[in-house]
Amino acid sequence: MLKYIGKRLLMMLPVILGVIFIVFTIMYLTPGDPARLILGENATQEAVEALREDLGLNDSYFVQLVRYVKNVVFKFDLGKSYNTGKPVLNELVERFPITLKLAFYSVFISTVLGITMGIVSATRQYSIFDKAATAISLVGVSMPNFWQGLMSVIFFSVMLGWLPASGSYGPKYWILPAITLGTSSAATIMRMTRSSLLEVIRQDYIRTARAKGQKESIVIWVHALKNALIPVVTVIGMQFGALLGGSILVESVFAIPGIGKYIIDAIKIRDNMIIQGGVLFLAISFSFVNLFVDILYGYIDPRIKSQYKTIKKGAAHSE
Amino acid sequence: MDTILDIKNLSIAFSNTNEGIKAVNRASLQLRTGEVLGIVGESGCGKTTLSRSVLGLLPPAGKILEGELVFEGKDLLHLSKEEKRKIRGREIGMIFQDSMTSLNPVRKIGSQFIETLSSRLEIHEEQARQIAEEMLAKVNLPNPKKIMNRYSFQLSGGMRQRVMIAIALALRPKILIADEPTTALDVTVQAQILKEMRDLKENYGTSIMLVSHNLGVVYQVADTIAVMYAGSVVEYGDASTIFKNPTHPYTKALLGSIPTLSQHQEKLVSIEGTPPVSNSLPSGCVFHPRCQYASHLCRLEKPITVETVEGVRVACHRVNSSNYTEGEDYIA
Repeated sequence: MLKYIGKRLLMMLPVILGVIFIVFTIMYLTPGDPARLILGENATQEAVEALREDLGLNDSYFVQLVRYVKNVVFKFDLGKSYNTGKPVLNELVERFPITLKLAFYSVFISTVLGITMGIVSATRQYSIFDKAATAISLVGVSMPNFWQGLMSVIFFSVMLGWLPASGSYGPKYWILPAITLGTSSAATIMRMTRSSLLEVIRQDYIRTARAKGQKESIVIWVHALKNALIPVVTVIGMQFGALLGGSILVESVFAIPGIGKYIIDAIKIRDNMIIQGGVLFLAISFSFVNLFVDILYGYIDPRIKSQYKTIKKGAAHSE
Repeated sequence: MDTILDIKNLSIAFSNTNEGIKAVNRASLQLRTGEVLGIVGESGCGKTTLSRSVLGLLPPAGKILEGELVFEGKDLLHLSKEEKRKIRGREIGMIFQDSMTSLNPVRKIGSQFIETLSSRLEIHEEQARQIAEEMLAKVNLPNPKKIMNRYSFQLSGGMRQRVMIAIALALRPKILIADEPTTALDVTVQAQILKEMRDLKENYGTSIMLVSHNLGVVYQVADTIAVMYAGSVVEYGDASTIFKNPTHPYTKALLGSIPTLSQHQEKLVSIEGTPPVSNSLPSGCVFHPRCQYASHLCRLEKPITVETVEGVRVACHRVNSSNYTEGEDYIA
């Protein structure tokens, strides 16, 4: 297992380098001068040129890219914000728990909702509930979360006054953003749970469980669900990773001071270092979530676990 | 011997309408206490559908159109879901053809076994574990403790099938339905499984319904045989009588296609043609397009089942009709 984790961590390196290259290139090709944005429209050309030299913006694309990659890979240095002069990594680490908290709450809501609706839909296939749940999930997947966020603010905060519209000062503040961010995921999880459970219910071992006279509740909850949730766990993991990045718009709508809002604010003032660092940070987080899901997969599916053991034995024999 | 299970005029179709594909057509059979009833026939003849209908385990599209399934005086077709559930496993057990997929792949053998025993026999986990280990030993599985701690994919085909038998037998059912229990197993394992079935019948007086397309397997254990063709029971009676002196042309052809060591054969005998598709059965006798004795009458009229002098029930015009003329000009 450790060998597998090591292998996966090594495989993450080209992914990270790829992300650095793509984000850096996009930011480099984007029109506009960061030095001009930092100093403002009234600054003299000499002052702008001096700042460009100071920030290394006059160097060629290749020199800038190599310098940035060196700093990231060998020094874990994501640079300093053009605007505040603070190290980007420190700022990201400070904001990451907030984004993580939002993603966790969203995944919790979407998992509970999605799995529950998926089970009921699958066990009552073609019923009114199944049709309604499928329709709701379709709406959930199709609805843009920034629009849903704005609508929920108008309805629950402005019109009804039940929940706060922005900030992250207490449990009440997380309800709307978490639901907004989790809606699409809940729909995806629901559809996956439903299709997976329907497939499992048709398997021979479910028929065997029924032939032994097991209660239908045991057949579904003990025999079918554990098998059906194996692919669902992967989807939940992927959703969690996606929510870390997907929180950008929701954090902006609800003014939550997480990584997402930090990146959006940086885009407005074209603070390249924050944008590059933020996207890279989220990409690495996503990769780690995927790694965790793969390891978890090995523990919940004994067939995968036994493959790890077989590989290990094979390696021992070959030595 | 008393009849423990009486199947009367059972018809099963697969469709949402009554006009659907008939998988079983007015089948009648009796299973007596302590008897092994072998149901044989080619693939798709309806034998598996018939056996699964006893436990009410037909797929969602399966529908019983008519007939009765009388078990110990109760018609199984008129029981509630809960009453059916109580009979499953406890009164009527079943082992399925594919042992690889019949066991839950993500749960250990022990966990599946213990759960079944503790919930169905209402006993403590420790007691259930003890019974499980005893049963695994009884079906000749080495080191039951080790097997209890394994997953189905870690066992061989023969071991998995024996686990299935052990689970089914642990509940001490009055009837055991074995659907192709030796398919895909090598000959030595096959022999062991069949021996276990004979022991089961002799030691516990269990009635067994053995479904197979392998006549050799059925010959070794069955007391009574039902030969099925295209959803209908074409011959039914004492096993030794049917094997020695088959009456129905289909049974004759089936037995004739088995290679023997005693006779030198240049070429294996095969039955001409293919079995009919369930949704477009031929008129008259369903076997007539493939029958070497078929006459004009066979094409027009469905034969009724009659009993021969030897007590075998046969559905064939050659046996029961004075109007039958062998070799009469026949156009298939």
